[in-house]
Amino acid sequence: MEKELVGEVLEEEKYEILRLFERKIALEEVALTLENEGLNEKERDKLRKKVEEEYTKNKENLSTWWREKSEKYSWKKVKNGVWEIDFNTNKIILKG
Amino acid sequence: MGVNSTNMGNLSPQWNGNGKKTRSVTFCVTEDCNLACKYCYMEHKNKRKRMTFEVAKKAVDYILNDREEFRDNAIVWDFIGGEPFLEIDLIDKVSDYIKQQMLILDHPSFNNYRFSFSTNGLLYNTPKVQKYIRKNKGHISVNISVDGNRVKHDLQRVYPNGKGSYDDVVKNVPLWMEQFGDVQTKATFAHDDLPHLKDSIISLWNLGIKWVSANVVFEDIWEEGDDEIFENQLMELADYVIDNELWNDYSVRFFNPRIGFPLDKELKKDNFCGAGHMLAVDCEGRYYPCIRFLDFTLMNKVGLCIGDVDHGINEDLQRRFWGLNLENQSSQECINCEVGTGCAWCSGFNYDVAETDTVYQRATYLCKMHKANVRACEYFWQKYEEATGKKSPRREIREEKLGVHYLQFITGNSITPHCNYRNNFKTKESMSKKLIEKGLKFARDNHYTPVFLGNQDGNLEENYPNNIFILDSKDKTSSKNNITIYNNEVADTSNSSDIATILISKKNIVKIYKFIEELNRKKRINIVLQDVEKWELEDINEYEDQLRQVSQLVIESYENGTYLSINILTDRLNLNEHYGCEAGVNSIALAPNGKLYICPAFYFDEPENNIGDLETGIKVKNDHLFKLSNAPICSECDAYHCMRCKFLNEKLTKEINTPSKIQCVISHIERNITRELQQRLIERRLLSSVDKIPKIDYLDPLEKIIRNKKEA
Repeated sequence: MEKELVGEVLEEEKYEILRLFERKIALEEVALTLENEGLNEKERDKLRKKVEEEYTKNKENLSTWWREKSEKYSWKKVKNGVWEIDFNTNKIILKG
Repeated sequence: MGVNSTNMGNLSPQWNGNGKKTRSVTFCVTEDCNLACKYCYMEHKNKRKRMTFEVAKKAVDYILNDREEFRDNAIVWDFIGGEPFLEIDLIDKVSDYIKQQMLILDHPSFNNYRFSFSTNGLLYNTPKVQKYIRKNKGHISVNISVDGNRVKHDLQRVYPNGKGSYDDVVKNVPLWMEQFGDVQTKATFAHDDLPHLKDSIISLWNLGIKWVSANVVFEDIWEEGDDEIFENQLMELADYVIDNELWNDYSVRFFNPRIGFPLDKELKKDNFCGAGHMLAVDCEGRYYPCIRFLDFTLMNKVGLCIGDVDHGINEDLQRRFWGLNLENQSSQECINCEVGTGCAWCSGFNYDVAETDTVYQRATYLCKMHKANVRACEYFWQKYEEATGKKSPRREIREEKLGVHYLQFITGNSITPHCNYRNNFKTKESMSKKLIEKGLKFARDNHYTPVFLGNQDGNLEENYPNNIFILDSKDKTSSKNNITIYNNEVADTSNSSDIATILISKKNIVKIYKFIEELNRKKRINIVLQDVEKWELEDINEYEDQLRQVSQLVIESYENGTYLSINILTDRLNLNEHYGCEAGVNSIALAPNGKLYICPAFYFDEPENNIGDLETGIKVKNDHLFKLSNAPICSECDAYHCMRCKFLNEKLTKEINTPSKIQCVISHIERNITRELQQRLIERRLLSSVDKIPKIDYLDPLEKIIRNKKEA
């Protein structure tokens, strides 16, 4: 798979997507607790619903971030290619 | 001299709360441990006390719901013991509760949190711990304590039956590295294990642990000669790193390039640790400023409790930590220590050994160990520069903190002067290669940056290419002239250097504007006026006239955005205090005769007037006279750009701290024309109107001093 450096984002922009990414992981990890004995049925259902809603919302926010930034910076794109961000350098890499 | 990128001395990159302010909350889940380490600060470990889920739950509820007290949007949930993994079931349950509550409460830390562990690693590979790690993989950091090589580790980190734990811990290291990548461990050294320091660090690196956060204990256990053993071990380690070129990929904190400098104002107002800004919870639900204030970690005092899970934090008991800083807990010796940066302390330990129940008394048992560390650190970074030919991070930091210190090499008696002096020597004696080598070593050892005056027909640049050169514009032997000297003529402006120094004799005052106009594209122009002692009134008037013409060039440069910088006109625009020449303070000169001088002028004027040599070092008599506060005329003057030339002072008034009248008059003419220039730039909105230069009615500040005395 080819890798190409196609852009860079600002520090604050990096943190925006980093927090969305962390939220995604956090939601996946909290989902693993839904079968815990400590929760009653009502609490479990309420928590499951919140996890699902937040996961969907967060996914949309992630897509919005990529769309807005790619338009702002006019990043190169290729068919079936995906952009990735390096959180250490703020660089955007195209994989395709 | 370029700067090399190196990791040596740094800690591994720490999680920064994703850019949010982070609070650390420590749960002491048990006071029990499966080891009985000899140096452990937890003096009263026991099998009785372990945290219940109910206690932990109350603490979590308090922390997540009291947004007034806990405003931070990122939280590190730290689990410690004893050995925390003894209570993995409880930790798992508490972690799940934290995650659920953060989500339910829409707490901002749900996007920014970590579960952190300091463990002895013995239980790391157990199914329960591994299951927990898989379940929370994206939010965990684990620090396993491996203390060094087998001998060193097993000297300290033993089971209750005395057996060493090295093999049992090390077998888990590959799994730990596989799961967390570039891991870091903390190795602690005390009296008994100092002789194993070098081998221990190397052993850790060989295990694949590239980041070693090593330290020595704070306790009063150090014996006579320990500092020498410590220093020797570190120097041997330094040699090993250099010989094997390990500085890019491996790190040990002992070689942190930032340690061992005088403390600046900010550091004096800071505490070394975050005690009071963190929160620790003991097994019974009592709150503490950090883990080191819990009962079972203290030898002499009871724990410094600041609240509990039923009543919250008592703010009055926490207040003492908000004002705690280096200055108000340290002796004058520590505050003024020349190598104070990086000297560590622990507020909990300070409290434990203080004469009263205060946190404001700093223990200093490791003073001599810190100084030994600094010496070895210095040794390492010097070796690094010798091995790489690059400027070390330590030199960068030194220059940033203490300013750059220069050693000027007068490479021959026939060099073109670069400042207020004449070269009247008839001989063409050159500095020998042997002396240059000795001078470069002296510069390295004493943190001077070498500057070559002259190039010995190109030989110097060929042999020492990474240094600064100040050369005559007619010298065609160099391709990298850093500062070009134009000696009373501007014949060739093709030189690539950005900085030009123009020497102006009395007869060439009339050409100042012309010279500057020809060198207009340079970023910086320094005008050096020669033989000022011969100036007469008509010279002063001509000078004033020339400066007014040059002012127009400056205005034009501001209009077109090139911002011409000229010492005699634009420096005063940006100064609020005296700049002055730092000769004898931040800069000295080495002459071909092997002697050191305050600056080259003193050598060319009278070679006997030296301040030492490379063997015996620098001995400046009455160097207090170099300070502005001990220069009575200069300290009353606001011609801040004036170089306050010590050579001219001594030559013309016979006192190194006293300028002659002509020096003061010239500086004040420059000051006053700068004032006119400033007004014109402000009128054209090319400069802000703050810090306006005031109007004055004298050209010699001595007039003001005498007038004030009479009035008094």
